[in-house]
Amino acid sequence: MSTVLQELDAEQPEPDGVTFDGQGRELFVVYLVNILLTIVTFGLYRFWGKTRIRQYVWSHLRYKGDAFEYTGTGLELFLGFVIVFFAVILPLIGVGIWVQLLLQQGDITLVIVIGGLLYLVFFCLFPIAIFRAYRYRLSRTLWRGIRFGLTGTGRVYAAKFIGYLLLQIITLGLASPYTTVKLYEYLVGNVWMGSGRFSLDPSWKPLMRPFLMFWGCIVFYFVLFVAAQVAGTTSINFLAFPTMIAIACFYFYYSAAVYRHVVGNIMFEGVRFSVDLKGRELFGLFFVNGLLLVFTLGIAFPWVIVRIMNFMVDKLAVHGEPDFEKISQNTEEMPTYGEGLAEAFDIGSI
Amino acid sequence: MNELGIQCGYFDGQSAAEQSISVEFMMDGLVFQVPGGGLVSWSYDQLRLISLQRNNGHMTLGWAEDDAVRMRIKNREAGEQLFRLAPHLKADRPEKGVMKPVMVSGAIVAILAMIYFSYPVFRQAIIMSLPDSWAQEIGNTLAQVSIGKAASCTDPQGLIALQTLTDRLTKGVAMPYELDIRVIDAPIVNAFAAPGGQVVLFRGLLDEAQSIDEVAGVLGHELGHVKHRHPLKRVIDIYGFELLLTSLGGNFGGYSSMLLMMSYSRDDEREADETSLSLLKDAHISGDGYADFFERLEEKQSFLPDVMNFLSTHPLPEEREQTIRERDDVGPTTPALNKSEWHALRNICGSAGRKLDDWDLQDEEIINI
Repeated sequence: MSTVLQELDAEQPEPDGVTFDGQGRELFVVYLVNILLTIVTFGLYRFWGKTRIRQYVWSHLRYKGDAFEYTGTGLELFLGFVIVFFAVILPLIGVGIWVQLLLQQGDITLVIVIGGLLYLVFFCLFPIAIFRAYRYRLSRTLWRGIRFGLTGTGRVYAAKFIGYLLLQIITLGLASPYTTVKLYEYLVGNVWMGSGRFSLDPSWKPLMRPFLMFWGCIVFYFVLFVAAQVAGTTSINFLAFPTMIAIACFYFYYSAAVYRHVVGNIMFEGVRFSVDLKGRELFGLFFVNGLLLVFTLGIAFPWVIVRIMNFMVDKLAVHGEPDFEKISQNTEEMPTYGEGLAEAFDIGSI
Repeated sequence: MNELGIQCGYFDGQSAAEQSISVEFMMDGLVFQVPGGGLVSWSYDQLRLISLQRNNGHMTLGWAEDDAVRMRIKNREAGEQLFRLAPHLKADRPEKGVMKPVMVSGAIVAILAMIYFSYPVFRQAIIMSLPDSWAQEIGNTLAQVSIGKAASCTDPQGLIALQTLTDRLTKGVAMPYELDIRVIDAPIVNAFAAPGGQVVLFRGLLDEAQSIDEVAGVLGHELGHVKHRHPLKRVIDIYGFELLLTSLGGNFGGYSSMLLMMSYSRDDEREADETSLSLLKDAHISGDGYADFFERLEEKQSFLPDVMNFLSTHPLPEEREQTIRERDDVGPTTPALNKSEWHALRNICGSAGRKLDDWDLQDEEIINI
């Protein structure tokens, strides 16, 4: 029997580049089972459900015909959440109750100080949660048996995140292209596939022009309506709606520019990437996805995921090929539990 | 044997480079020569399907013995043959196998139903093992939080009238705690019982009541809560059950625990109503006043749709009124307090006959007695 099969070998060449062959119909089955089990377990199953969705999506995403693999488990996500629940959420609830009691006693100053600190803690934990979620997902991602990874620390990421945010506030948002690229530089620069490391060229000046168009619109809007308020006139109100439309258009225009620029400046072992993406296409994706979710009350969620994956794969091009011989297995230590903090903040639905 | 095998890709888990191997499909497993190594056999039950490519049937396989090695079968027919030899691989995908989760769901629902019906028994055991002083301490704190800065009413004549009413209602009835009944000077038409024998009536209730029998019914209801330790049950529900479900189950867990708690709470309210009726009956006080109270409540809350019954901590007023009207009074009844006592009780906060601006003022407020 083997001789017959031998003749059929290598009938179809593997597709080059990145492809996705998941189907909304199949993913819907996964999703439906998830909903059912999530309901009867009072939400507890969602950790396992998320894992199954990821397994499906990862295993249909391919590079050079070889599928990615998601090796995380629901138990890891669950334990990650339990740890965060006892280490972070429960103490914060305790402080919250304490503040309530202080409020009863009328100690307003102390309430403001503690409440403020509470918000500060939340604010600092947020970027750490994002970073850790990335780290977990990458450490559970395999391609040809080679593990991805994320080095660096959540603390440094959070420090940069908050520092850049302050810089944006001080510069009235004008530092946005710079801070966006610098934050990506830290994240991307810490991504590994096996022994191969990604890097991002931190040039940001080409983003300034598209950003200024977006920024200019917002400034125009404020100047216009502050002036109208001061003058007490309503005669220019008809301009409000067109200006808001313009802000939205330039937002997608700028977002697409960021994606093109950032992806275009990523390097990996001699490989370059590019996304051929226009602002209106990005808008189209979000707009249709939004309509799908709203009009089906979320039932279309699997199709929305597939649409996003197909869109990305369609736009993404890989230039060149790394020397696969030189990419050896990742020896970095893996995080043991997953995403508890991100779960607590409800970041990312898949 | 290499000439007979099928050309496959092999990834050794050490590098991302693809190596070419020739694999033979034997009865019990896949046999091939590892590049630069010996002959190995991957038995079929150790195989894991990692990915199946839709357009050409190519598949990626993992092997239980070594987490990182992968084999890639690049031939649809070979893949189909593998499915015949190792049928378990077909179900090795997240979108396959719907029946199992459905059965698991059924089992979970059954277990949850058991928990739902047995939980009150466990809770009762916890309540019995807690010291009364502990309940009183919690009660003091909770009552203080609800009352805030409003003052207790202390008119001596009023206090005596309140004591007379309480004594008449609780004559010969064993209460688990020492009673501490207070009227609070606030224009709220409400009353509540806290863990550990504390009962609070708000002045608004006395102002709005059209007869002393109405007040007696409400007081009897709160005494019913005390008798059955309902407030302590709620505390255990909130800190033991609700907090757990809400935190572990996310939004969905929160909503479902809320519905569960409301269902338990409505049962308690019905029990407290029953107790109130029996206290009234034993004290030879008519239940009509208590029924009248709910009749007026019904009118005030007519803005609420009936579906609220499932979304409320209390049964609907019309249901409660009907239950009270259907009671069977035995023997003659007398008003709960005589005229002068009732007058004293109404003035317990010092100012006679103060009316609320308008009870309709609180149209949007749901009165929880």
